Amino acid sequence: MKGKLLLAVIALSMVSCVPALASGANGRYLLSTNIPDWATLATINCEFQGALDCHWSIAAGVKYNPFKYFCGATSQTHLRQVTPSAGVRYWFGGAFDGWYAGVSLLAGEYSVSLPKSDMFFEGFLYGSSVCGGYLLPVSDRFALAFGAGVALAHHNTTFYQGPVCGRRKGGSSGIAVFPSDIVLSLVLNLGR
Amino acid sequence: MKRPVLIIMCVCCAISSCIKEDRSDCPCYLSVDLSQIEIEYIDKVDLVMSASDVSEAQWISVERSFIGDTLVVPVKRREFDLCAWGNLKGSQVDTHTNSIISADRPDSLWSSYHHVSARCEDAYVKVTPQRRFIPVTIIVRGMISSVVDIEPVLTQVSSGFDFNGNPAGKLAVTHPKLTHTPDSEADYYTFESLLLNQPSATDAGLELTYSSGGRERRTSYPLGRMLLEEGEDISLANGNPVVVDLVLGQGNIFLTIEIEQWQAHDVIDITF
Repeated sequence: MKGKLLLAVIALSMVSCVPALASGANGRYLLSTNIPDWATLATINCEFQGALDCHWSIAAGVKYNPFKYFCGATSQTHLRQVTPSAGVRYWFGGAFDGWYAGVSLLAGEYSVSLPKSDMFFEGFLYGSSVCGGYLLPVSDRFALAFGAGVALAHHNTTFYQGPVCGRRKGGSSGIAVFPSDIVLSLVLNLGR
Repeated sequence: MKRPVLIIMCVCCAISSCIKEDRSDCPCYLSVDLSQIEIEYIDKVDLVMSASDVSEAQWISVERSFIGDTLVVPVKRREFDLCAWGNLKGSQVDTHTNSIISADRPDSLWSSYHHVSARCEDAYVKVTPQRRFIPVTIIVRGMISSVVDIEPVLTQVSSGFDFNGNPAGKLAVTHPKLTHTPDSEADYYTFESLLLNQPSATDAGLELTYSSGGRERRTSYPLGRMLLEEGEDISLANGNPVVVDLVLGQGNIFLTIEIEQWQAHDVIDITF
């Protein structure tokens, strides 16, 4: 219940950015998808950005992975998650031009079962992340983004002995620092 | 632009329910704490998990190596009654009366009853065995050189227990085992048997039959009532061993009752 509440908070914060987007100085918008996330067991992801002025933009995105692989009677492999995020970015050169740095809020629910392992865990996290990178235009409409991000989040994780009705083995909670993004994104320019 | 963003965000909240595994059909892992069971006098444990009908009960026989430890058993998520039986060997299950019947060969039964709520991931129950029998020793002495065919008989109203721990079953007649015959050092007969817990303190009797001078004589005693007068209630668990001392005289029998302290080593050896 608490997880859904936090997800709703982030969703509302993303929606509240829309008026700012509509009155943005440049009226420019970007839609992107990150290739490394797709390579991680086909995690569906997209991010929307809108320029606020010459240097600031807002960003809102979501990662979603509902898939399971190699499902057997007692084992399976998956990296299921739903992780929305919302934040702001500062562009050092100009909006959607060159280097950027940003901070975001994020929350997520996850369920992980690793291959060749009888350990399986699920949980929820919420926190913030910082990121930085570079946007490289390749045409009028398309660009590539490179970058990385680190998250600081509170997690609540439960461990089980196996994903298929395995016995609960315990849990852990606390603050964790972990890489939130390895960015190699395809970017579509939606604005002028 | 506002509506698509709103829709996407609402979908995020909805699909979060599809991420974690649905464990509602998974079993509950019940930890059965057997640490209170001393292997010195309980060498076999049977766990019976039932709702109301013994024919649907789940039986688990616990290996001797687990006695004294904790056993983890996956069970269907529900509420149920757990009966733990110790030393259930010769007794049989009566599906008509949902009970365990010892008939004429009472086991040295121990039992523990619990109501378990196993509706989530884990549950725990601690087995605390209660002794449901009283060892009975019958000594016959006195003018025994002139008598033959001495045979004591114990009668019990109840010969077993139902799955709620209440005495159940039909009238049972038990023939105590002859464990000592008169010799130069001990000039008496000794018989040993067990009395199971009864519905009430007076539901047991002792009958002594013997032949003397070519005539068969039979004497009956309200054993349950006599034990109650000595402070031993056979309807209660964890009763103490009793010794019934019968002294045969000239045409009469003198009976005394002694209540002893419980000693574990008396139990396992009583067989028929």
